[in-house]
Amino acid sequence: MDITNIKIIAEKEIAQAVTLEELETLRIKYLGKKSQLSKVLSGLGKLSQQERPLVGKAANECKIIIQSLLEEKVSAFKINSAESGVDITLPGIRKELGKEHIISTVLKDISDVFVKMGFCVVQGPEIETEFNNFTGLNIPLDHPSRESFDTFYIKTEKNRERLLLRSHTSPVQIRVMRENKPPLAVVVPGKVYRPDAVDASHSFMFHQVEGFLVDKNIKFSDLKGMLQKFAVEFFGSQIKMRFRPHFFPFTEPSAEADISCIICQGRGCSVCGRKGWLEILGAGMIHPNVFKHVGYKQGAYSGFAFGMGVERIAMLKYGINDIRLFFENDKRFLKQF
Amino acid sequence: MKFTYNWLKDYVSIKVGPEKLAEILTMSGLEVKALTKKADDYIFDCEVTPNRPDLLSLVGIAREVCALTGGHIKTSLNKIKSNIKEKNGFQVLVKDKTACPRYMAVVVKDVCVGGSPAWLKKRIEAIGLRSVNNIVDITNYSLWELGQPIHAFDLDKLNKQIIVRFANPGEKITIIDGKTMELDARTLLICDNANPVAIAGIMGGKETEVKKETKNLLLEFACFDPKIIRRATRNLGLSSDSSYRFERGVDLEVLPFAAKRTLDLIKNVSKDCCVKQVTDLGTKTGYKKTIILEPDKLNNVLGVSITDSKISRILKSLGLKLAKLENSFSVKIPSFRPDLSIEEDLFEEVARIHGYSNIKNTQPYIKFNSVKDDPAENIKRIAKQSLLREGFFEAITYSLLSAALAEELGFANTESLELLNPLSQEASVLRPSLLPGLLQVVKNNIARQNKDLKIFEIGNIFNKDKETARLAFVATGIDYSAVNSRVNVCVETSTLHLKGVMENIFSSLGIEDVEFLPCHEKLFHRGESFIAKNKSTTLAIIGKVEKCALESMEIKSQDVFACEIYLDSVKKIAKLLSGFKPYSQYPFVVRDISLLVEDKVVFKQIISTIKDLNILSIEEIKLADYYKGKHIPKGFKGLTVSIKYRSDQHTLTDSDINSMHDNIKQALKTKLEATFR
Ligand SMILES: [Zn+2]
Repeated sequence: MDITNIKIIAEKEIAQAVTLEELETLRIKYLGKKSQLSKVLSGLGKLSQQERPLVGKAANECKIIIQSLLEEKVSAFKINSAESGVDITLPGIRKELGKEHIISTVLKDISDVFVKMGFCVVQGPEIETEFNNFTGLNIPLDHPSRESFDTFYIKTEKNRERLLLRSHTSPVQIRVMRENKPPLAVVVPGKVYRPDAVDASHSFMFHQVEGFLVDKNIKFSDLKGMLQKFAVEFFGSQIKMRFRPHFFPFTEPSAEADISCIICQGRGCSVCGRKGWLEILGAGMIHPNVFKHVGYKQGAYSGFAFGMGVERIAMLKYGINDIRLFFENDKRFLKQF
Repeated sequence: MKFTYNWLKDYVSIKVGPEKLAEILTMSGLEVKALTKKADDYIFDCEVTPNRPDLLSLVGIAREVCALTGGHIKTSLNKIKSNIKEKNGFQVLVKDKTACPRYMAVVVKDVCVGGSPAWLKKRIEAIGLRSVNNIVDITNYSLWELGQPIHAFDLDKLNKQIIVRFANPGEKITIIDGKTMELDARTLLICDNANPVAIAGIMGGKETEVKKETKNLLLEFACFDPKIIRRATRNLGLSSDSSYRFERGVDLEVLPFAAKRTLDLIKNVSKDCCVKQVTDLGTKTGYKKTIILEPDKLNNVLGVSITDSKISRILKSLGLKLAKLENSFSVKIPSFRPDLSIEEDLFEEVARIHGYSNIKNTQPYIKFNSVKDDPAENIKRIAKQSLLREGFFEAITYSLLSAALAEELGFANTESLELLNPLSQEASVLRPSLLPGLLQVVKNNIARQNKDLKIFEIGNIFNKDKETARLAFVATGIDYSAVNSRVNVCVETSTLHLKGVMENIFSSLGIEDVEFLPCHEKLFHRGESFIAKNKSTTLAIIGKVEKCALESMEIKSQDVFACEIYLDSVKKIAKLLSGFKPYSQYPFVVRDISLLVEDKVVFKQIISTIKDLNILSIEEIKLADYYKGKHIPKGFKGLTVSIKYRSDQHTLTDSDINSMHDNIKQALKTKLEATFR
């Protein structure tokens, strides 16, 4: 066995030792009279003139390293034992720190991916006008989502316009675009409301993250590229993303994006309905009528928008099986994340 | 929308197997939610987006399959497309042409109503319907085929004519399933000369339904305003395969074809029947549109380079008619595609058939934004950090609460915003404060034996004229400032505890100058609750929650302390940037003063008495001890104040310090009648 090998094996064995006795055995094995190193050193005389100093030097260095490793480990054992006066295995004296709600964390984590790409964060009000929530977004007057089955309305009106609890974060598109000219790269995390009876997968209040990028010459292929990047940043590099055509009144062309199932890695499981894919967000190129409503000249800009449900993403990512847990705020739930 | 693989093959030659077809359809926008094998066939269950009523028919799906897989339409589909002409019709009166733009009625005599033939029964059952009789099954079959809902009446039960009109308020009809529905004036009805015989587009009446004894039929092929049908289904809580399609809009132009096809099918199962009269009222032409499509723009918007010939091939395969112009196409939209109205709609069609997955991902170039981050978010972030360090857990509670609870906790209902259509009384008003929600969290946790709690929430609250951001935190039970069980430094939570938390938040936001006034909110305990102010601006309310309030929340056994910070006011005075202050090079000396004062003297008076002396060499004044009770006369309290002396000019001598210290004592004695121990 050569000296380098002796060193490697000794290092490994010393690291694995858990008692003082074991360390003593190792000391004898590597540094004792019968150890291989001793044999090498005592056999130096048999070597040639050229070899002698090289081998001697290496063997001595090796001996020193092993010696110091052993000493270090022995003294570490002594500190940990009662000899030093402190039982260091007692719990540390520390303050219990609070924790952010998991929904806040996920909202922030999602937003942060886009913030790193150059997006800024804007929050809009939760009480919205009918115009911002629907009309401005090209949702026709007779659209079912405007009905009281799908949107909470507020008794009080403002300037004769009906007020409502926003049913999505998209009205912030209207607010931002009406006040600002492109280039715009904005993410909107926030609460939204829909009159769904509460059960394990429905809640009348939930969170969304909306995002939009508006400039000259933004393309559908850009939308795909950016959301793919988001999926990889947020869910991990092994994640695949696919885009399916879909329908939203405020985008054209529109898409729904699926990610490969994060539970079964796409092989198919009960969470993804054996499909291997999980629907994760809606997106599309901003509809020309939306630009018209905010007063942009026809054809001057293009852009895309996307939106995703935060509870669903949190449930998938953390394996939470009931949406009500988020809003019960049981301390045992809050402490976990 | 359900259909089967074999059934679809009647209209289109499919080049791929069922699994592959399901994938192709899903990836083109017709999501196949489930694919089930049943005997020698496969059942597809698809989700049709609301913009594509044409896909609620097998013919529509066949058209899509052709475009996607390059198969060809079979002749049987062409056969369906032969028209039926009107002839000396049955009398129909349509009162409102907007509500019912087209109505066809066909009289069929001498039908033989009976069980359906095996092939028909099999298909009807495969798509999840119940086989009723040959006539009803055919109306369903035909509906599935072309997407046109059909209703068959027993002609002999009809009184003379058909009238399409709105219901008289309170008018009633007994529908096929036996239920009697009371209608309002916005419900459209199909009536005969005497009575309503069907709720238009939704369900037929019991009286005129087709039964075994039925000899003669009146078949209805109609088109109704989607809005009217949608409202009625919601209002009545009643829907059907017909109403599902009418709500989304049916193609006006398909009516005569559907009629022809239905009659052919009826003849097939009832050989001796004959068509007597055909009535066709109303508009004959459906949706029409011509769109100019520029291939350059298409390629630019999608980020692709698709050739003109491919664009043209795709659009033609979808049944659109194209004419080549100089740099563009003129595209004629057929009546079954009312969703196509602008150029961008066609971009999507091309992209869809080309395949979204064939569009190569690109990376957008993101320029500097013209919007800015909201500074309020920064305030929230800093405050949150502070609370997390203090051991508070963040909660997120519902923004809606019960009006009764809000009132019980002292929030005037004149100020609160109410929902017009709450889901329940438990969630009918918008929260006027974050505290009710947090108290509810306290209640729920105590009920689950989590008695020691420190929680906070940041969120918006609502009242009549505005929506504002707040931050609230509550604490109850023991505050384990150290979790180590051996060095258990446990302290009961208290108002001063929360004050400390609040002070840390304020100080992290650069707010130092805070005054306290008594608070008279119903939610809080009088004498132990305060309004924190900076000049005239209210920054927060803090204190012990009133017993009655806790009782109404069913919290009985422990005190709860709460603080709510008005972030909009805080935002206005927060100073997030503080400059560097040079510090002294000389040593300090600490001297204590132990004094007795009357109970009415508050700590702040002691501090200001010292500060008013303007002694420059005082670096810090701290409360070192505070005691009452034993060894202290009644009506008095004892305090120890530590004063840290340091000069930034020189090292202070004993006599420097003695003179300052004596001055302080003298001032405390004269101004506050303090005595020293
Ligand atoms: Zn899975």
